[in-house]
Amino acid sequence: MPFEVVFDGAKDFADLIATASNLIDEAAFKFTEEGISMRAMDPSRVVLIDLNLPASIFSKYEVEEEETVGINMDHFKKILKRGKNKDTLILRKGEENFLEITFEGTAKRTFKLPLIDVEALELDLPELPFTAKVVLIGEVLKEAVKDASLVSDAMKFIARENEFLMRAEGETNEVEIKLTLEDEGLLDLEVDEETQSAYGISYLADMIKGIGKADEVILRFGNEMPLQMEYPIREEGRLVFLLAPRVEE
Amino acid sequence: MGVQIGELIPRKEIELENLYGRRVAIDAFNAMYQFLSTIRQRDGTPLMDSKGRITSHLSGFFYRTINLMEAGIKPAYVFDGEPPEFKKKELEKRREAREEAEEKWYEALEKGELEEAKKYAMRATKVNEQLINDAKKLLQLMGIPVVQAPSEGEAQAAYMAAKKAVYASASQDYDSLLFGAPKLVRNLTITGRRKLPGKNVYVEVKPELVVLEEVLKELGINREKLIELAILVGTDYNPGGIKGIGPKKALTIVKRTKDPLAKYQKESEVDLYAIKEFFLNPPVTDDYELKWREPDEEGILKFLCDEHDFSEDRVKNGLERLKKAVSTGKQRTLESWFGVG
Repeated sequence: MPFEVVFDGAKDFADLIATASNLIDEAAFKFTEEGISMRAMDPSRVVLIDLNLPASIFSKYEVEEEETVGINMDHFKKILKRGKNKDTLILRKGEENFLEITFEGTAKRTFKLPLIDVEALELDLPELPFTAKVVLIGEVLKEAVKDASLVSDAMKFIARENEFLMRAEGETNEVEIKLTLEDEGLLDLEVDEETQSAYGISYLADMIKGIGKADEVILRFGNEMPLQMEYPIREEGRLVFLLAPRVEE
Repeated sequence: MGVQIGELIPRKEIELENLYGRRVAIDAFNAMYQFLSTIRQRDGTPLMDSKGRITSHLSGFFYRTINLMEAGIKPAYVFDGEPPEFKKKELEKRREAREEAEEKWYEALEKGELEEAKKYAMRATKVNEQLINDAKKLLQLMGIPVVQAPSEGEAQAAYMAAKKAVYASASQDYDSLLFGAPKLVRNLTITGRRKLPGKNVYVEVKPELVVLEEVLKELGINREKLIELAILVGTDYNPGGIKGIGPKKALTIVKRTKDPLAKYQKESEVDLYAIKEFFLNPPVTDDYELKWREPDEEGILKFLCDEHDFSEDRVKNGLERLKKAVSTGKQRTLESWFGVG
């Protein structure tokens, strides 16, 4: 069924897709009256991505009937990269099996991307018994992941009653990032019990790419449990990741 | 070797990525034969150290295992124990065939026919106690689990897969399906770019997944019938099976006949019921530990480079890759928290 949606600021949308494309090769985007959603898992089944973009964040949103389109993320990303910051992005589908991607700026440029068959991930997010919730400023998390990547390939999150620590240990170097509620970077901390869990830095680095510096990022985790990372897209939209931990045997 | 029922078995090509984070019980003898027969010099001579001891298998166990670990797979090697009484005849036959091939290999070498020599050299492959002990020693130094089966390795691997200690058994043979493995992975230790034997052609070999439930559904029979089918076609325990019965005919027979073994027992010298019973209830053990440890670097360098003349640079490079793989091997998948795929 045909649809047409318009998003102001093509670059923001490009960043969002670039973030997801680092982890997944193809995805099924579901267009409904309420908005666009996508849920996918990376091929190694370590990360799950859950994207929700409500109709309200689009300047025009015309979807009459529910429709799922399968997209090659790499191709999608490369096309979206051609959009400029001030360009308006239009995603359109007619009767044919193509997604039309138009950038409206000083000129009107339209790409046609063939759609592919992708099985949608029919999976409910599990209710995990997280014992820690941390809300921090995007910039802090982005810098912390960069710091940690200098010394190791994994980083440990530690949440205690009054502090949140991110720690990485390499063969020779170590780094610790410490936050208390006194710090500007930490907005909220809820800890049921002292919680520690380690995560792979290469995955974290991919997940944080789409975070804006001033965004509020919510982290939820448990002892040796997955990390749920959530951040807003244009306030009302949400990008959620679930990342499996690293566990010592 | 193994049951010749491949043409009946549905299987699907998979990517190594699909096995990420999964434990796999590999039939060590099967892997060893593959390494010994394919990792060779151009004239068919196996890799050897300065004392003339074969090292093809060590090269295979070292580098191919590292490849698997790098792909996030957790391999455990299952070694054969005592073969069942009724397999001894087949083993004897294989020994004779190998000796014949060995003679032809030398003949071809004398005549300078390299391709011909290589062909026979591959057939002459034999596994002796020393090769087995070397392989076990290397794997243990690498921190890879070694499982000693009381009897057939395929049976033990199938048992471990059936009780979900591992995701699948891995072998080129289909026997572990008969032993009840719910999933079997083929081509695991030969995945990648491989030269076709006897030809100057390279092919890309990918792993294949065989799911027992799908096999049985496709054939419209149960596991017991699949065992009977295999026995009619021929297994390691009754080579050649019943004269004139191939896989397709056997399928028709087991579907139509209530007790096909009774009907054909008189045409076989071997007790067919004993074979069926062996496939249904083989000797297996719970005495194993699936733990992947840090490699013993010094031990490996000493064993491979000092004792067996491996290139130190290459082994050190392999060790770096292995250490990294062990570290990333601590990565869990989301399946532990909710059932997927």
